[in-house]
Amino acid sequence: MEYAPGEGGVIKAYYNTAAHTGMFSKTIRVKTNSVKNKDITLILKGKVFAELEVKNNTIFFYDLVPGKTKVFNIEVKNQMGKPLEIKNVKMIFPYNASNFFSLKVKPVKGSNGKEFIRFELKPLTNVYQFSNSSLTVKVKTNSKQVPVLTFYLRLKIKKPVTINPTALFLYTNTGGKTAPGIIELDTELDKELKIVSVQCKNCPLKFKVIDISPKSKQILVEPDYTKGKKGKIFAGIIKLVVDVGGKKEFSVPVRGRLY
Amino acid sequence: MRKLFLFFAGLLFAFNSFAKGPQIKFEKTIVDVGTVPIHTKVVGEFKFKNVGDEKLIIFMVKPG
Repeated sequence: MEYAPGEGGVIKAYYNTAAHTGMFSKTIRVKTNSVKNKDITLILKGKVFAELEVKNNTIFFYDLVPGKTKVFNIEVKNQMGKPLEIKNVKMIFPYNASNFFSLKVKPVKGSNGKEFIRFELKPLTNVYQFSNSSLTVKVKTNSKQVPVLTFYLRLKIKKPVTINPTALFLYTNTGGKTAPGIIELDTELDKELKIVSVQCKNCPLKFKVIDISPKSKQILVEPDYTKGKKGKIFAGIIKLVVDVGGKKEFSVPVRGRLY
Repeated sequence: MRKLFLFFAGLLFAFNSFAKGPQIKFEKTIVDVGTVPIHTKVVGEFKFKNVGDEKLIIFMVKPG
């Protein structure tokens, strides 16, 4: 653009305040053939305000236990001049989240006059089939300016039993005998892990439970030469019945050879 | 010799101050829009004038 001597003009700068609340400062660079101030930096600044401002929209729901409700409060700055109401709550991602979680969201007032949005998340018993680690939740409010608040719920569900390894191979020959194997069992729940029974049909094996801690056990799997002759190749499934606030059965495939 | 040098230096300075060339002058380079609601489009207007004596060309206006 060219301007004759004495002529003026306007540079208009546009900024969309959709993204964030709080202070903003945007710079605009202007290059001219002016003798003085060839490169000028213009600044557009201000403060974005919203009727409803949440301190944090990512919530960490760690150590979730199926069947147990976990509560998390998020502080909300209400400048509507009326109490906050929650009209509707929807878990929008993943689409099948409601099959695995029950979620209640309600506004609550703190003792210091501050307002909060309370999230009550309860994983259902089938939650271990849930493959995602986060939920996206949309909360409809009575605010005209901010009708929908979006929250991201990060999840970590405690595993009742972890078995390592998931399959056992006993092919190591140590001093003319089959080397024993170890199966480790741990729980992330705040309960004691008990091993009710260990069985393997048609396997020349014997089992010994080693108590590491109330939440951790080991099973020593040794060859049993009374059940099979040397040179026997075997394959089977070790059935483990574990009690962690309820009995559960697990299977560990096993293969090996009696040396 | 020194006086002659100062005379020419002064002459050069005077010539430069008369011959301005293109010069841009903004009313203000910082626009504070104050408090604005969320989900709105804010407009900042930066008025300027060519106060020089030659044609002013704006090559580029770019968000920084």
